[in-house]
Amino acid sequence: MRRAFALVYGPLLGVTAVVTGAALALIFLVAPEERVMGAVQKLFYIHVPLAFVTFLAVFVLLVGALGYLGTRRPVWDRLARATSEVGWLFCTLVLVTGPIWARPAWGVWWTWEAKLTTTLVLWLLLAGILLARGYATTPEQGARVGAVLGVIAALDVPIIYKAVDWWRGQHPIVFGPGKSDPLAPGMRAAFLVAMLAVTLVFALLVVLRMRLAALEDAIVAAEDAAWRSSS
Amino acid sequence: MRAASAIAAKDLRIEGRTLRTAAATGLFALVVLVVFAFAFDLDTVRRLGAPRVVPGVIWITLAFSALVGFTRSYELERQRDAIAALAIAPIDRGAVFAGKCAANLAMLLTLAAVLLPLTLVFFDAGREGAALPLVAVTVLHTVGLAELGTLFGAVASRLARGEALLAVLLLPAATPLFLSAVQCTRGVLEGAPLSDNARWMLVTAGCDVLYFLVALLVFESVLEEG
Amino acid sequence: MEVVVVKSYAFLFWGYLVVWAGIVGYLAFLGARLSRAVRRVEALERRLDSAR
Repeated sequence: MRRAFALVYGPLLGVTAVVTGAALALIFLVAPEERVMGAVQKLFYIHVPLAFVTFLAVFVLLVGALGYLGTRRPVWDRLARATSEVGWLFCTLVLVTGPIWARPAWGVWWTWEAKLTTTLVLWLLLAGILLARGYATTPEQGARVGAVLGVIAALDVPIIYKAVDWWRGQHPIVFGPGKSDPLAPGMRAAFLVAMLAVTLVFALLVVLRMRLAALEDAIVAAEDAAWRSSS
Repeated sequence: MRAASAIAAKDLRIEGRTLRTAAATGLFALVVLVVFAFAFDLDTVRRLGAPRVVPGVIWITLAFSALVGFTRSYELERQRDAIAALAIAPIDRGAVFAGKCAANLAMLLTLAAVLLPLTLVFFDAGREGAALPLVAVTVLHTVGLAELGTLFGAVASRLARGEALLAVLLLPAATPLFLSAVQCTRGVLEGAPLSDNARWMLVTAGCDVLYFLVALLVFESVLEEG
Repeated sequence: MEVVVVKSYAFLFWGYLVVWAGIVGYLAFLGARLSRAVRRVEALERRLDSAR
């Protein structure tokens, strides 16, 4: 486990740094300013990738949760734990950058359109998972509870999105997103690199979080064994 | 199948003996209803049109009363550490879930049977010929609510002081259910035929099946000791 | 109702700042917990060595 981490971490950190740098350069130096919204449109390059990666996190959470429920191997639990936490962080960032973008773009801080609303519900679901893990009395219980809740949340998200989408259809939005302008070529490159950068940052954080989980689990197990052998 | 009904019967018998829980849940629902009446005065409701306000009132009241009910359902077992016994017993996990779910469903439907007429009277939202469609909508969505509540209730009951968590866990996950319930109820109260909301009803029916399958998948892990 | 478009750099600034702060903050949190964990592991290993 230690070797796998050491092998992955260095290169991942390097690549992430380079791609992030490239993304920022493209966003602020290369991509043209949008006609209507001006420089504020550049928030788009970070808000949308954050949202995409949040839902990627939920998918990986599902994989980890099912993996743990199926095999009971701790590495799956660590994956589920890491993606729950980092996913929740990214979800928070989406919900913060969303209104910051919405205010200049649509004139309101919040709108109950499908994607924002689903993200809000997802935030609540992920927060519930983290909270529930905190309430567990043993690590195994926490792992099981986190996995079960993770599976339910991940499977529920597409249903929630579709339901909210239909719900909005019956109440047309008075102010909200209109048709987005097609991306100019400079913008497309910036967007794709930004997407890659955010995904790499996510991967980096997950790897680090899993490393932390492995260390802390090992410490707890060792201290537990030491306590038991001494008593 | 028999195991499921045995568990359901056990739960319901405990409920019957402890009329306190039924009374508590029922009274809670009534209190919430009255608070709603104060929050939205009749004049406002009449002006907005009862079908637009009442569905929300019904389903919020049902949801929060359900929370009270679900917590009690596992509380009773935790008090006698009966969950451990259930876990060891050689019963199929699916049967355990089905049994508890059926008991919770019975509780919720009884609650709804009292709550709905009262709400329609309080808010003057009754309508000719709405009874049967309203029953259909209520049963369909209550099944989903019972399934999710049984599942999350089991999870919350395993955690120390988990009752506080139940609302936080259950309500966001039940979002599609509530959206659909309000839409369909509103349709019925406005006099529209059920087929207008066929899409919502079908999806909810699908969700009811899906939630049951997911519960079968994970309930084993939920009941585990430790 | 007309949509008010605010072409203010303030929004752009705060948006990126929040994201940067969030990610760096979490990295700092992870870093602190990781170094504390590594120290505890080293302490445990020293205890094990001295016990042998």
